[in-house]
Amino acid sequence: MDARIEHWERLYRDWGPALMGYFRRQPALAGSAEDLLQDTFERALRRAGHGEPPVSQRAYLFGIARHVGIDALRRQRPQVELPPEFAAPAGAEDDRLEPMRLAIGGLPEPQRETLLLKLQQDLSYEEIAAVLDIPVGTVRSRLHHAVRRLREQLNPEPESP
Amino acid sequence: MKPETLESLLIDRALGGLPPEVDELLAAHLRLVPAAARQADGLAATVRRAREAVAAPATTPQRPLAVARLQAALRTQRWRALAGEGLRLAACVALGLAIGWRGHAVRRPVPPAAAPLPARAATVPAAPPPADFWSLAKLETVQRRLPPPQANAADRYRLRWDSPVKMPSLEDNL
Repeated sequence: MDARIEHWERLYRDWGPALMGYFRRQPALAGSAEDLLQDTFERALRRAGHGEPPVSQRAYLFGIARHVGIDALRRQRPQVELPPEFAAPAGAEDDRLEPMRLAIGGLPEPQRETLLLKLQQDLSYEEIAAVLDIPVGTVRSRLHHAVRRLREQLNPEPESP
Repeated sequence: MKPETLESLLIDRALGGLPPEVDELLAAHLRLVPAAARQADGLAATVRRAREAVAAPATTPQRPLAVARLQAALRTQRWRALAGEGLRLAACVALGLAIGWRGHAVRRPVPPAAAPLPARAATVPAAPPPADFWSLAKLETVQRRLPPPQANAADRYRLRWDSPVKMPSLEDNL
């Protein structure tokens, strides 16, 4: 088999689940997450070698996935229901998480997107900057605004050790 | 330390975005300042709760990577690369031809414009020649405009040519 295909299969094994989660956590994209994942890898392969080398493979793939998701939203696919496994678990969950979820949902879109890349994917500031194609300073600024806003809204008590 | 600077550092720390050496210095500062430590705990709790709120179990894709699609994409990529090379080559050839043609056109001498012979009566004097710089072609044109030599015509006009850089002219030979 072509060595390049093997390389991309390895990337799929390494980052496929994270990218799948990225799509499935967006209600409008969750239903077509599998297709979008395949589109992401196909587009990533087509664009490989163009432009500057990426900060990291993960940042590169998330950047492509973000554009694939934006394109999918532009195509105005019908909204799909959030799959049941991504709904908030009933009963056992901390009661304070739902207000937090609502507060995150109320953040301005740029702040929310940046915060989710940090919290869900644990990307570094530099990787987020590469994914969103913005300066690192802007990433830091968005994250700070988002955290301050969440803290102001929810004001959780410091936890005792 | 300014409160806003401290808050920024604490948020970066809670998000895991501080370099290790800065993190150590900040930890030392927090050990000395209990109020700052409480603020750090609050921010860390906010970030931890936000992380829990948006966390979702990792999802393994159901389908394997569509290798056939990738192979098709690779083929397309190769064809595009070849086509791009061909286009660049064609553009170079076209540019070379255009430059060569233009250079040839510039070097080619412009043939003198043949002025139509005036159908005038022999007695009508020729139009005054233009006052710009003369050339052999213009002189021929002027001579062609002259009426055919007649027995008495040669006596009527004479050619006045004062300087080689000035246009010759006809004047009455009175």
